[in-house]
Amino acid sequence: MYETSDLQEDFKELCEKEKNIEEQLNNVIDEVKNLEGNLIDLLNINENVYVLNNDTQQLTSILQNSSKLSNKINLQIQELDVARSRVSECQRRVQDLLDLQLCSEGVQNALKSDDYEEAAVHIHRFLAMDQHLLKQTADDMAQDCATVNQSLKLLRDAAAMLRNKISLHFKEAVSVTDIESVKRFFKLFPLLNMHEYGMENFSVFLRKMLKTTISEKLNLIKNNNSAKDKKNHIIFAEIITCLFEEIAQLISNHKALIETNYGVESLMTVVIALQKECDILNESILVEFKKQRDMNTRLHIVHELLKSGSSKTEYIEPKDIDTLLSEITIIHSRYKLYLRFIQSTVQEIVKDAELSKKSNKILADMESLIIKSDLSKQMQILISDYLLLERYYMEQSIKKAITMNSFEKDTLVSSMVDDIFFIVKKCIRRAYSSINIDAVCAIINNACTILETDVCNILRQQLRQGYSAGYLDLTQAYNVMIQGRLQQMDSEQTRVQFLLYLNNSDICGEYTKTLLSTLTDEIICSTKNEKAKLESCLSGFSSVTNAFHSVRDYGFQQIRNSVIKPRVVPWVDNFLTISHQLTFEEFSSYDANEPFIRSLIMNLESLLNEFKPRLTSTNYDSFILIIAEEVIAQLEKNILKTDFNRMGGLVLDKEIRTLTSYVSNATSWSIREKFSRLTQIALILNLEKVSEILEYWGSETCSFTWRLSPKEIKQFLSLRKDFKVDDVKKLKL
Amino acid sequence: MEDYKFLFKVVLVGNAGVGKTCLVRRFTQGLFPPGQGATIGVDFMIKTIEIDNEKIKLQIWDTAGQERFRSITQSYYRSAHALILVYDISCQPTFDCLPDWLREIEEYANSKVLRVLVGNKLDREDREIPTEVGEQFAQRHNMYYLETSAKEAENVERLFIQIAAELMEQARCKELPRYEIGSESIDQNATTIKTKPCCNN
Repeated sequence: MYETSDLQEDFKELCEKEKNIEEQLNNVIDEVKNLEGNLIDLLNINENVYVLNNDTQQLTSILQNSSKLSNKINLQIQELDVARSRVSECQRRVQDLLDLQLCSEGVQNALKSDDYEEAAVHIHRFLAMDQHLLKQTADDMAQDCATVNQSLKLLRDAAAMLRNKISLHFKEAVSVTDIESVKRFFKLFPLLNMHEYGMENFSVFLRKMLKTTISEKLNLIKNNNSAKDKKNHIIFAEIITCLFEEIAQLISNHKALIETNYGVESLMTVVIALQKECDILNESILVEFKKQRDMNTRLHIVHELLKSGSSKTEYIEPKDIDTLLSEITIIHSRYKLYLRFIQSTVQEIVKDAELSKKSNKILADMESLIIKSDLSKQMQILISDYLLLERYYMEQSIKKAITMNSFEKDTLVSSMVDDIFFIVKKCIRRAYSSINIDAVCAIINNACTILETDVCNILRQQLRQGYSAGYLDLTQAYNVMIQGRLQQMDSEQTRVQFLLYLNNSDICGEYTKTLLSTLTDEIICSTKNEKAKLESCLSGFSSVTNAFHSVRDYGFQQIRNSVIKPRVVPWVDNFLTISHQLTFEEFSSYDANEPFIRSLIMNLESLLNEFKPRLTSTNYDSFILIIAEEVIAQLEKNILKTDFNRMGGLVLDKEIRTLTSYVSNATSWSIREKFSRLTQIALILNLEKVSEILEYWGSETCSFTWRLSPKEIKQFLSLRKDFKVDDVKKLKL
Repeated sequence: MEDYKFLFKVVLVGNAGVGKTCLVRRFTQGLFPPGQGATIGVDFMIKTIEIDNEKIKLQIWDTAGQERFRSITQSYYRSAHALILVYDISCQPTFDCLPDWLREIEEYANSKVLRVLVGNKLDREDREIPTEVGEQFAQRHNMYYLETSAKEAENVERLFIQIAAELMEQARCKELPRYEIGSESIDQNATTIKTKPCCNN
């Protein structure tokens, strides 16, 4: 059976459930209320949506209507457009038809009265019409067909006739060289669509004009054979100049005419045509030039002479080709100026044409026009011939200058130096006047070759003969006596000659330097590449300078051996005859007289005075330098053979100071450096005690760089007989 | 001043159209310009190279092959350190002219000049002069021999580098005349390059 408590619990549970259900019921009731409210709202909205829907439908129909309307309008506008263009075309055709009438009448009238300009304008109008359409229009209109056809035929005939007539008149004008008429009809061709014909024939006319002018002049030269006349020495340069000027004038005179009537590019046709005529005329001028100037014979002889140094047949005086060379350089310079003119003309055409495609073609045309032209080839051959002749001229003139070498009594150098450099400068300047950097470079190269080989060889040959001393020492005198030949007179002359050539070598070196700097300033190049080329060739002069210097050094080697050594050595050897171990009394008397150094300086003085007036300043300085070197070397040798005490060292120190200052004052060069070894030796021999050397050696306060090795220092220290050998040996350097 | 230890002048000669300009362009600019026009007079190029850490400046003179420029080109022979004589291996006439060129060189150049024979246009299929023929000619006239193609850049660099190396060697011999530097081939691998002692001229 169930317990009461159980029942009660069930009851409680049931009560709670009831409570819950009640709550839920209440909630549902609340919701129902809400839903009712919402339902009312929805009913209201529904009404509004219905109204909206109606409105939208209305709007859509309105829009559809307006779209249809606008489409219609659009179509109408298009139709209108077509109609309008038809109307305007119609108008044009009517105009054309009217003009056709006018033109045909006008042409007839104009032709009757020989008014070609008027006729050409009418024909031009006619040619601008679409003849096919014109005819169609006439067909369409049916009633006027005959008239139109007649007009058309008439105009076509008239055009053909006018073309014929103008061509004929143009040719007539050309044949009688009536320039004004030529220009008149030339202007009309473009109106008749005859551009090409016009340009072609006008070019022919210009070529004819050019040919007439130049041939006339050339015939004068041919017939009179006047080129040989001295005053006509550049007559071919003149006629070539005339040729180029004439072309330039023809182009500039007709430039505007062609540009206005035919367009700027048509100018190119004229330039090309004139270049062709120029090629032909230039060649015939050069043929005559070669004939009258004996070019082939001369070239042949010169070629042989240059190759073998002699010709079996003939010799050509360099001065005989002097004017010829100038004439060629003038011809070539005119050619270069002409090239520049053509280039700038073509560049202008390109600039004005303003079409990159076309301008490339025009530039290519110019390339083949100028660079590959016969004119250019002829000029290249001419300059090649010129270079051969100029090389010959330079070589021969320099040879002449060398054979005709002479000197005045008081001059330091002989005439050939000035002459040679005058010639070289003249040739290079002449080459430069041709405005051809390759020619200048070639002449510079040739000049360097001649100077470095021919001229240097001549100088060296003379110097090889040596400088006979004149003063004979005992052995020499003995030899002379034995051999029994005394060449006093002879040797005086060779001595003068020798010094002259020594000076020549020095001045040649100087002149070469000057030439280099002059030419560097003088010659102007138009491109960077040309400048680099020129500079490289000019640098050849630096090696020429070196070559002259080495010739000069060779000469000084001779002087050193034959003059300086034989004289200086005995003077310096006197040193050995004097004791350098002196008492105080001996020192005082020696100090007062200074017998060695005074006689040495006296002797040097007389030697220097003998040579000073006969040497260039550079050579004199070199001379002193060599004397100094020899004195120093010999003195050092002698010191090593001498014993010293303190007083002796003091004397030596004084002697060396006197010598150094004497020699330094004699020359403009800084020469003290050469004496630094001697000065240091004197310092060593002048020390009070051995250890004093450490104040100079390895000391930071020492003001000079040692030129003596530790071994040498010890060697010189041991010359001091008052120093202990052991002290010197123990010295740590 | 410019920074280089040696300066050498190299001059190229040979008939027109054998490719002298192309060789120079290939070497100095790394280009092969097709349709190259004929050279007028002489052209001038510079290239600085480095061998054994030494800077060497090469001045290369490219001469016109045509007869009418001969008086210009001849003037450059004497100062040349090296002469490169070029012919076209596919064109017999350019080879046949070599003796004429040698006569010119004999007449104008320094007798000590370094001479190199170059057969160019190795890329051409229609070869007319076999390698041995060129080689023998070079040997007979105491020249170095090399075949090149400017178009394919074959042996071009080598040509100039070896010339520079040889000239440098010669210059050093002159600087140190007492040292007998053994005869040294400028390139051991280049079979066509004949050895030639550098101190015996």
